[in-house]
Amino acid sequence: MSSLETVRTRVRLAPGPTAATRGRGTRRETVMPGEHAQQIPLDELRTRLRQWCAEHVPHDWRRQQTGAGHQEYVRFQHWWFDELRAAGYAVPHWPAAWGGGFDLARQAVIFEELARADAPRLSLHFVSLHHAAGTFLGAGTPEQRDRYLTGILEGAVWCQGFSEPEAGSDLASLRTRAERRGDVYVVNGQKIWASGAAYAQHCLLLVRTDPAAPKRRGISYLVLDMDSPGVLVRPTRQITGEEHFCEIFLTDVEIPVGNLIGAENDGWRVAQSTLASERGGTMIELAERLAVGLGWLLGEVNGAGGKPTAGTVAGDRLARLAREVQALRLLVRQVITRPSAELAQGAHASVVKLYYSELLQRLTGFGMELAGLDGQRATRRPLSSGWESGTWLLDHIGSWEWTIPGGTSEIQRNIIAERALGLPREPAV
Amino acid sequence: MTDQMTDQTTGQTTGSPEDDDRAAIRDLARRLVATTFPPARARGVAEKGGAPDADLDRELAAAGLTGLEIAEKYGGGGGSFTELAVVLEVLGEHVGASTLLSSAVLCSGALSLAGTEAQRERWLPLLAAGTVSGTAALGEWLGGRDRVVATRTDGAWTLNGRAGNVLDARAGRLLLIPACTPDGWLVALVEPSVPGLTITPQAQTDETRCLDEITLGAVGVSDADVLAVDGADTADATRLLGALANRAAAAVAADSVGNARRVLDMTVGYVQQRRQFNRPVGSFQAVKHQAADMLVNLETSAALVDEAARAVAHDPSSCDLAVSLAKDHACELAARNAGTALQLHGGIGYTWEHDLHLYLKRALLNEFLFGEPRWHRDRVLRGLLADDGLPGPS
Repeated sequence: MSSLETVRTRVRLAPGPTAATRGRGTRRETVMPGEHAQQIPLDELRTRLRQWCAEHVPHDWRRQQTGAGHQEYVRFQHWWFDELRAAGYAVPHWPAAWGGGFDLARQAVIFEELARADAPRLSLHFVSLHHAAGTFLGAGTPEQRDRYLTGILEGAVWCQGFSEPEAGSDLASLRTRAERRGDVYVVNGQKIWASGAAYAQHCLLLVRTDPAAPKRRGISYLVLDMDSPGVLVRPTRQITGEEHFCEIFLTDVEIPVGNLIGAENDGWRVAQSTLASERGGTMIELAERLAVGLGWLLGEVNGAGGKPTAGTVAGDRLARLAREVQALRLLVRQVITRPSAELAQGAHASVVKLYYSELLQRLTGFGMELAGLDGQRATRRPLSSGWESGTWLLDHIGSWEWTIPGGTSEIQRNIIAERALGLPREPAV
Repeated sequence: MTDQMTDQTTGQTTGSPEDDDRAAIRDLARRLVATTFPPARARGVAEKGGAPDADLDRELAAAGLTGLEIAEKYGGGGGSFTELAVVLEVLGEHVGASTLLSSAVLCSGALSLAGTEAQRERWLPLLAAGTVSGTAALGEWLGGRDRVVATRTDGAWTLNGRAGNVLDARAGRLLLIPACTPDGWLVALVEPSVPGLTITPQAQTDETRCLDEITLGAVGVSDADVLAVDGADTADATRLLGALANRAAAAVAADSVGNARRVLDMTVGYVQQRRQFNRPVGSFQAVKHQAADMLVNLETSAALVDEAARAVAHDPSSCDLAVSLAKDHACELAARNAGTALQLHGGIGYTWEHDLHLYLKRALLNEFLFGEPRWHRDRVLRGLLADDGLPGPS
């Protein structure tokens, strides 16, 4: 049996990871070492952000955005995006050449401070900044990057045309058809759950280009300009009363072949770049927003019935939520502190998504219970806010927007069981 | 990010020297405990009524793991609590019947934190070598009903009372007894052979740990054997007991993480191998989804316990919240996971012959050991109110 002493000696003398092992693995580095951004000490960045938020976050934005019309929402989102971009905080997760270059630890500081200051979220630009950018950085040509990333920085709004009425959890069975005719694809079909499509200039579109191939091998990835003839967008009124999701109807829409991302029939692989972009910094932001929400709940319990103690229903629920929110924050930080240490690729993201979405549901449900009958009077919540706006009833109802899309909780559990635990797949049907 | 990359082929994180040390200690402890304390041995301990396993303790000491955290000048490894927590987690993976928690976490920890030079020189080398083991009676401080009272007469202290649920007292050569004084608390070093002290083994469902009752009838303690005492304006003993409670709670939470890890492995192995309706039961979503939830419970617990161990090691004076969040979460969810594991094992898991009941019973004991859920939740709520929410990220 080796002793501790020999273990320590062995470890200390062992060579560090070599260039070969360092670069291995499937985790894609979208963050390039920036000339300036990465040099800022974390404390200084935090101080800077806190100062900036104090000066720039409008104190009454929640009131203004409650009951605001679509135009006011869009105007406000563009204004806030411009503010963040001018300060250098709109795209911290992008490469330095494109105005980002903050490593994950620094991105975390930025998202934490924005959450703590209760700053508005960039909900209108969410798909542009994450899904679209992730796709072009992962699979776009240099020309596509130049064109589309520049557009996003100028405020272009993107939406995502993935799901279809008959292709939800089984996304790869999508049927929207694209037939090549000369220099264009002619596209016919219907997309659904396209968030923000009514405001979007471009759409990330998955289409079937080879109906004869196995379902994942006949899919291509196109950029659709939303003002093309034959595109019809119809907002879907959701159970919260809001209309953010849309249906997109495509009738003989011509898309230039130059708008293909990746190779023809390789769209399923490209789509993984899109979905991978939902990880990392975005989850840090959402976890921090949840921590802020927990603080509100604490204040509500404390203000209403005196100090919460264990053994009371409210006290026990609060203590439980606190440990769960803290666990989530630590879990998302593992992307920084121990990337892929123990879980197979993909499973960590599924654990985080599953845990966040169900915790959001529990937390907003508790908020709704605290608000009681009076809370039932809520009919609208502030736009531009997080998933926990503090209008707990509507937040709770809206929380199914997390457990259903982006891979339902059931799909996430399948992924975790199959990829991380190695359990067998369901027999194919 | 460049200094924190993962070698995908081994799944090991390589990064700071601290991470490397923890990984190496984990490997060493796993090999050692798996060899010395195989499942048959764990069942044997239970059959014998749950005395600590002397061979296991001897091997841990010989490898330097018992004295891992003790300063080098007393014969220890000069390591950190985060390293000790790794060994505790490995013991949890094997329901290890070791005195590491009582002796290294509590007794050695207390001497290192508060002992005089003479006390340290006398005891720490023996504790590091594993020649003697010790424990501390924390029940009263953690909200238990038992009382020990210290009175001052003729320039010495006299202890009277009862302390129940003391971990591994029957194996200890050195007992740390907290007692109430008019000014607060006193922590005394007492040897079990002292007149007036009796140790009665408690019977309990989890036989991989032993809890004992200590009664004290006019036990004399000289000032040389006082480890810490509160004065009118000082709170040395209170501070020490607070630190010990945090160490104990973080340690038992680490044990529960190990427990949950092993229970998940057992369950995954079983549902892959067990076939019904012409397919492995692990291919049914009703089974898979429960296994996935077990992993989520494990991962969230491990994250909180890692953070708690770091807080105990690096920020002992303000780690209450981190420790209580971790203890409450990890111990409750390990018990829940063991219950799910029993459900997924079906009938075989309900037999005495299968190892699963050892894990279930230990996980259930851990839930109440070193601070019941209510005690920790109260501390969480107090911490939240004091900080106006969860503390900002470090």
